[in-house]
Amino acid sequence: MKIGRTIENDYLLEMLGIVKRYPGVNALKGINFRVKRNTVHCLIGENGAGKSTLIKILTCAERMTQGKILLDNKPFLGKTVKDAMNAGISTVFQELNIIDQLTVEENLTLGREHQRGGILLRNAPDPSFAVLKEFAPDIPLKARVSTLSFAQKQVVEIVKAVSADAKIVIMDEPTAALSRVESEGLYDIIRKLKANGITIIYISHILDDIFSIGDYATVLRDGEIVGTRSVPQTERSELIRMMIGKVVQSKYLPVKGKTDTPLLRVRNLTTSMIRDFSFTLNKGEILGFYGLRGAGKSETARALFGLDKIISGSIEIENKPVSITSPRKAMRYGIAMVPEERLTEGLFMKLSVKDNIASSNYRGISHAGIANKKKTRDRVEKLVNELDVRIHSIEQQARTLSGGNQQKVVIGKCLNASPRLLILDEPTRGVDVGAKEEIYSIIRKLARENVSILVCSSEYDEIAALCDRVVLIAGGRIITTLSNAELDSQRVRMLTMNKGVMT
Amino acid sequence: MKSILKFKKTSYQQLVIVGVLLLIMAILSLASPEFLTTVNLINVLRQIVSVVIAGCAVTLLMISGNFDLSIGSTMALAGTMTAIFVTQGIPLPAAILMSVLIGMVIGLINGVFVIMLNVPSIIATLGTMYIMKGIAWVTTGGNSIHLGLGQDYTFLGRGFLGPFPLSILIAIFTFLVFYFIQSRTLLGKYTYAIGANRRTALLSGINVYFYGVILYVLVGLLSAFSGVIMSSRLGVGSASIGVGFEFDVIVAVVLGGTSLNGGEGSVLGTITGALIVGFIANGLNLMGIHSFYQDIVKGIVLVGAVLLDLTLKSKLSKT
Amino acid sequence: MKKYFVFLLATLILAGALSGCSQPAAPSEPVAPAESAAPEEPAAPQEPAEEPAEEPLVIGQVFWGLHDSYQQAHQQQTAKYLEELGITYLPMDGQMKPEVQTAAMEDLIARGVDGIICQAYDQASMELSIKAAQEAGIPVVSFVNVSSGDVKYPSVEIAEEASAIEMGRIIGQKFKEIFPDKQVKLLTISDESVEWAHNQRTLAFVSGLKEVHPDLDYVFNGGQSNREVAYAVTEDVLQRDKDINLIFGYDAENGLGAIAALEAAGRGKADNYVALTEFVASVDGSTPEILEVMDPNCSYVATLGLRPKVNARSCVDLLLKLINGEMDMYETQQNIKVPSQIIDCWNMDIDSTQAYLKDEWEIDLDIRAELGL
Repeated sequence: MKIGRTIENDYLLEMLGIVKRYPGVNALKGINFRVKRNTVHCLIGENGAGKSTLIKILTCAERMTQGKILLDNKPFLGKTVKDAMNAGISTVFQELNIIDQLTVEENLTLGREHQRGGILLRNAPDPSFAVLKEFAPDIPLKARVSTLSFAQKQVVEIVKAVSADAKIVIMDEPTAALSRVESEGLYDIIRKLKANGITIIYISHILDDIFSIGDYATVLRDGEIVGTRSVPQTERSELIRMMIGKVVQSKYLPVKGKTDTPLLRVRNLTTSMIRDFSFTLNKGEILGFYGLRGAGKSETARALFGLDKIISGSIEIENKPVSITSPRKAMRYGIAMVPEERLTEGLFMKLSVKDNIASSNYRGISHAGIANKKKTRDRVEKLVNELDVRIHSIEQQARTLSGGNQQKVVIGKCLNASPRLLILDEPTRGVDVGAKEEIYSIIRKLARENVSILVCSSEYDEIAALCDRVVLIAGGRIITTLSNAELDSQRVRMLTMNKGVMT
Repeated sequence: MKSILKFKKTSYQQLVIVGVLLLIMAILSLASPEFLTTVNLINVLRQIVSVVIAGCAVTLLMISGNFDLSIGSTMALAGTMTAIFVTQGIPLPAAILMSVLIGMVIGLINGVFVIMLNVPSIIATLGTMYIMKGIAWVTTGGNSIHLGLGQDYTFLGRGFLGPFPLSILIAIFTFLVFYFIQSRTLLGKYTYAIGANRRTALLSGINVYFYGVILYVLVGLLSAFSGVIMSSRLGVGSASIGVGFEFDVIVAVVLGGTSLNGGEGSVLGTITGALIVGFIANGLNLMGIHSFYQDIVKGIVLVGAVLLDLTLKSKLSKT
Repeated sequence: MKKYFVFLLATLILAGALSGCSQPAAPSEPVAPAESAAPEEPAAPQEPAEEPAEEPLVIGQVFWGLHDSYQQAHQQQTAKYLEELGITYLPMDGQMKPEVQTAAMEDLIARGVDGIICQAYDQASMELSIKAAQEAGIPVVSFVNVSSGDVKYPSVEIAEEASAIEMGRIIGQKFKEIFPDKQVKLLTISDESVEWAHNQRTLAFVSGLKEVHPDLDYVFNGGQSNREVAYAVTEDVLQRDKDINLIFGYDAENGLGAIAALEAAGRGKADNYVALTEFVASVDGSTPEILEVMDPNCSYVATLGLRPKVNARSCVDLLLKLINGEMDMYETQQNIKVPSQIIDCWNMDIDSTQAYLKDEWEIDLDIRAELGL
């Protein structure tokens, strides 16, 4: 590990006057992005702001239209991903670039094996092994990566990036799939990297991340830099304002449609993942489920939607006991769900927005198994307008949309089935701040229209802004239920983090 | 601790296949007294030589996430070309070399289409399958070539080296080479890497195109070589050799635990798979069971073994 | 991985060791026969038991391809016959693949059978297997294929050519009786590229016909082995030449295609087995052909049927001669030639045809009921 370089210039990386034009779009409009040596520099902005384009240019995955890059005060003229890696620019992607079927050791040396004439040398020491030992002594070198947790895999990937003689490590939303505790572990590793003289470009929407580890934050919007701030001297609200260009209103607004007539009453619900869940949900109410990943939120949603087998307990809808054994049945009782995995569970990525939304319900628009084109179109267009999905045409493929718009399409698909109960599992994960607010207002509007809403989330701010009541969960059990007025961020986090405290 | 437990999973899974093999051998030796004789066992080994030789390369190809349906046609073409070259007066070793080169060219063509031009592998190799089969029929005019092949033509397929049948020795040698490639070389490691996650392999700076094409060339080479051996064993060059052979190979590879999605598998498993298929066919033949029933048994064993494998896998991953 | 390798290796060694133990009948080479086996010998000779009287004989048979209805009938007839004789039977499917046939032959040699009957898909490669069997002391009878010279073995041949010539003669005679003043105008539906069938069936038939009608007018030959093509060819030729009065198809598909085209043109009729406008004949002897021939109102007059029972028994009888030492297993001059059954509407009636089907094919066909007579 290289420690204590001679400092010639404060900036390790300078991207100057970067312009990137796609046919019909100016993705980057002349950006000057400077990163100081040995800092954690956060790059933030809404989806489509140009973050990923900028990173792709830096890692040579895309060519810039105009501009120049200085690395260590020398022009960097790489053309391929390999060139960028050789120049010391490594990236830790959201979808990890690590091969499950190989061992940790094999992954660490992948692409730069110790070999002679194509034959691997056995037991050849590699500096990366020592780095791994320093960062995560609990990960065995000979273990298959498929046996590791996501967080451990991420560490392996970071070690791999660092040991490829990286000067700059780019991290793309690394905490998106981590629990709070795991995120803390990652922060530690990032601090260690910094202590070892490595510069980090950290992409994230998560403000907690930025304020935990960031030294500087650069905000991008619409292909331009809004500004760069020193993080310790900046307020959260200022960063948010810079990101979306307006003041965000994420305060709790009591919903008027809320009633005291229960729609759903669950008693002692038990599956293989949750135990003894009892709660009620009133008509027009927004009920939150808050807890860490794996605490039992999604599992409750899955049980209510007929995906997980119910071992014991009862579910009543409008005072009538129901048996939900499959999603089909759940939908028949008027339950719809926006699943956590939008890409794999919520959408048909290769189908059009129209087909996606229409797929949940063809009643009233089809006859003898054939859908009426005009009626389908009318219904889909109505939903698209209501939800303000931004698309050129309803024939556009779902995979071409941004995260926020995709999520709106998933919601549209659920609304097409005219549900009485809408379950949303992590409704705003991977959605940028602006779209988040829009999704919140859609949810509030639905509640006003007397739809009962169940929101599962691991974001405290989301629960606080949205829910009338919140069920706190840890370790597969309900800890307590609080009204919105009783919510307190410190207390809630403490309750949900310490498993089994109040059971 | 946990990881050690899980690490056992893969070897456990391979033990299952050997278990299936043993079970089948036990049943067959009870059912037919002639089954467990040296002569018969050598027979079976000789019958699976072609599947093993081609299967070694196909295993690596399938681990890398690709597929080749042109194996049988390559075999047929290589066999007929060897016979034609020999009847044209070309010395046997040169004729074999040229035929194997033809196989490599076919592999190269497949590789270029699949890896470079992104034609789905099933379609591209289905195309070469028809083309090569057609060429084999055209060059032989539908006849089998057996006149003027000479005495030593059958040496490769039927000859002995000392007390050992030469073709079996060749198969064992091929296996050892591929076992080495799989476990100890860059090619082997990259094959797994590409099959498991091509993008990662690309981003790790691996030349996925080069290695992808190399694997196709290897398949072409070994398919052609097994065609040469088959032709030598039968003593003829005939375009009808190797019809449906690709499926025999794929069955052995899949039985051996290689994933159709790539990233998993082993040459050793393929050998076990080939032994299972070979023993079943041979044992049922010895028992005088009609080939229609043999097909049914083969199908049941294939699906059954894979199902067993999947159930055990999901059970193991739950604990 | 390594553990697995060791395990597999141990399995194979164990199997090898067991295989040594399970050979008490062959005391000459108890274990490790590989070392004592002579090189250059494809299979170590598996001596048949010293006292054949003690154990029942075992006969193996490698078929051309058992998906075919003739091959299945042949197998059933052999099985039945061998059961009568108290001989164990091991039939194997060659699947129309030379490599499968070779493997089957090897399996039989390994099994140490007393004799083998085989029909080659590819004669050259089959002869290598026959040679290996003979070297192991196992006599082989070939069905259909005749020794090419390098390897010597006796055969049971199907005398299809002679039968086709005979059928030509019979049809020629009858043509003279029914159409005394007419010249034969012949259409044959036969694929010349399938050489053996064209020569042994079509040309043989024509040569028999020519003995009676030296002046015949051979109008046209065409077609494949496909009913639609036969239909089209017949239709086209009838357009051009309405005087066609004899049509020969070299297999069932071609004969049935021709009669269908004739019927579509309002022809193909007969009055109580007396054809009105033409004769139709074919080779194969399949049930649909036989039904046409036996139909008194149809001008389909003859077909040539194979005789699975006679063939099966001839093969077995010949093989037994070899096994019992009554004939040398390298004999090539005493081949048995089995003529085919000529099924025509003049020399055979419904009862004798039904008897033929039952006896040779084990088919119970009620021809009267099928034809609605």
